[in-house]
This record gives sequence, C-alpha cells and structure tokens, in this order.
Amino acid sequence: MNDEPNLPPQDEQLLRWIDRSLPEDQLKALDLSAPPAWHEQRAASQLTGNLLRSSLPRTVELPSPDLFTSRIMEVVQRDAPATAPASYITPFPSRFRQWFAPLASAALVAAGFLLWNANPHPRSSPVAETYTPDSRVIARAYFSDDADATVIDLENLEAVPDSREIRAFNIASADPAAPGEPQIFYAANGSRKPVVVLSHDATSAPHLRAIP
Amino acid sequence: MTSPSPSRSRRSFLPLLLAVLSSISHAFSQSPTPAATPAAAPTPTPAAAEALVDGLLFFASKDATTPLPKEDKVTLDPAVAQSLSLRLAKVFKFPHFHLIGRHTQKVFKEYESWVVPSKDLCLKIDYQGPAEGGGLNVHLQLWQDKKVLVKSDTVISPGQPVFLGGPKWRGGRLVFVVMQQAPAK
Repeated sequence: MNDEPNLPPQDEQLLRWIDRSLPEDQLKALDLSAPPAWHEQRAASQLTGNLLRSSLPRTVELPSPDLFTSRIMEVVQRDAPATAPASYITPFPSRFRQWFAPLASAALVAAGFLLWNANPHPRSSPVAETYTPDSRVIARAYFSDDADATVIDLENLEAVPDSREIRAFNIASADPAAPGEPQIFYAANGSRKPVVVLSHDATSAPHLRAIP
Repeated sequence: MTSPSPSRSRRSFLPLLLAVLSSISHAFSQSPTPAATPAAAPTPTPAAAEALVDGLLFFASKDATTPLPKEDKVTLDPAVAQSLSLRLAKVFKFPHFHLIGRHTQKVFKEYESWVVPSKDLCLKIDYQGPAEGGGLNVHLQLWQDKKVLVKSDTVISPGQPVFLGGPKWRGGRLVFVVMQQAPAK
C-alpha cells in the first residue's frame, strides 16, 4: 500500500492539512482518513514550530530574507556530509527511511534558527548580520571597542577608477516621494536648490541624477 | 524488498520541507513583525519620522593634500569631525579622513529612507523597530551605482555609528559612515 502522497494536488492538500487551512469539514475528514505518513509529517512540522516558538523571544524580528537564507545555507553547507557513492550508503529499513529524511530536514532548519538566535547581541557591542550578493566580496562585520562603532569592512571590492570624479553632495532631508514618483533632494544650505533626483529602475536599483 | 526510488524520496521530502517552512512562517507570524513595504505604501502626508541620521562619505587617504572633488562645501561640527576622524583611524589604517559628502536624512517608520551623500555610493535604510536599550534596528543596503555591495541588519544608535569600508580610489579608500543624531531635548 502506498500510504504517502504521490501527486502534486495531494502535496498541496497535505500542506493545507498540516497548516489547518482546509475547510473544517475537510480537516475533520482528513483527521480520520489521512494515512499514517501524513500524521507523522504533521507531527514533525508541529514539533518544529513549537521548538521555534519556544526558542525565540516574542519580540524577535524577522531577519531580512537574504540574510536569513544565507545563514541557513551556511548551516546546511557546513553540516552536510560529503556526498558518498550510492553503493556505500547503508540502506535504512524502508519505514524508517520514509520519515527520517523529512524529520532530519526539519531538525536542520530548526537548528539553523536556533543558531541564528543563539547569541543575542548585547547592547554594548552591537554587530551586524551581513550578506554580499557578489560572492567575491567579503564583509567583515564586528564591533570595534576602540572606535565605539560597528564596522562592516568590505574586501575584494572593485576599485573605483582613478580617472573617475566622485560626485558628492551636501543635502538636506527629504520626505518620501509619492509612489512611482522620483524623490528630489535639496541643498542643505537652505537655498532649496534641487541637487539630486532619485528614481528606481524596474529592478528597484536606484538611479541618481545630479542636477548641475 | 525494493528500495524507494530517488524520485519517490524526493516526493516525500518536498512536502515536508514546505511544511517545515510553513511552520517557520507560523512561528514568526505570532511575533510582532515590522511593517515596511514602501512600494505598496500610500502617499505619505506627512511621513512619520523615527529619527534623524547623518550619512557621511569620507575619503581615507595617506596624503593630506590629496585633491578632492570640487563639490559643494560640506560642513560638520568640528568637534564631531575630529572625533570621527580619530575613531575612523582606529579601524581604517589611514592618517587622513576627508569629508566629501553629507546627507542628513529622516528615517521613516513605514518607508524606505535613502541617504545620498554621493552619486557613487548611497545607502538605503529600512527601519525595523527600536533597538533594545536605544537606537534603531535597521536593514541597510549599500549601493554603488546599480550594484548593491552589502546588505546588513544592524543597529544604529546615537554615539555608536556604523562604518562601512567601501572601494579603493586614488590610493585611498571611500568610507561611508551612518550615525544617528541624538534626539532633540
């Protein structure tokens, strides 16, 4: 008997059953009729959720997605054993294998979360979680007691060509622009002279246009 | 006895992984989360500002007479400027720190804030709530032209700035400093 979901619609149904987002009548029906593997998976999911909830402070902030993903991937890559040839893998009993991989994956994700929150930064030495989209760039983040400052030191950045003139400004605070409109920044000397216009391209990258 | 095929293993693994992520989502949904979706936000009139920050662009150099770009004169309280130069010198091994750009900007509660002391390096700040003990929890993105150099979740508080060591230029280095101004009394 195949007691595990094997079709995408069933996967979706499983997820919604675990998530308790199905209509009440379907939930009750599945509570009675779901195969044992589904109950095992729901138990594993609930265990993970409870573990996370009990380990995180109520006021914890959701990490920014890129930072969260990079941290989880660090944990996965660090903890993952080297890939062994298939012939060297000792087979588990099929019943055990059926739920071990999902449970292990749940534990790994939970471990990532616990690691993330294992060292809350004390007020006296705030540090920074960093992520560099360019894998060649290394961000060293630390708190410098000497400087009494958080330092994010970027290494391996491409140098700005010496021939380039750095265009710098002295500008005052500006209110947010209306959605879809560019934001205009004015000189800080009180002249209300527009200095730079900020807009965004389709990828949300900033486009800065200096006003001569 | 036949072993489950890899595809079958994957089938059983995928829903569970998704379920775990669903649980994570639920775990976090029970925590207060910062609201910051600037793109979808309505027109701010006026926007609620949480704090005022200074974004300062320094050119760290070995040469006191290194020619600087002839831009608008940038001013900073001399005591603050001297203190910052001394602190920067403890981190970045240069004797001279020339302030070449400054942008004083409100940090908004529900909108992204851009700090633009230069056309070449600018900083996006997303406010993420008050920090324990004072200051701001923020998500920072340092941009160089169309490229984001680093993203960071950190804390900015009065007296404790964030130093971002940027690219090299003309034998020196560009350093971006972001610091919260002390609240007005």
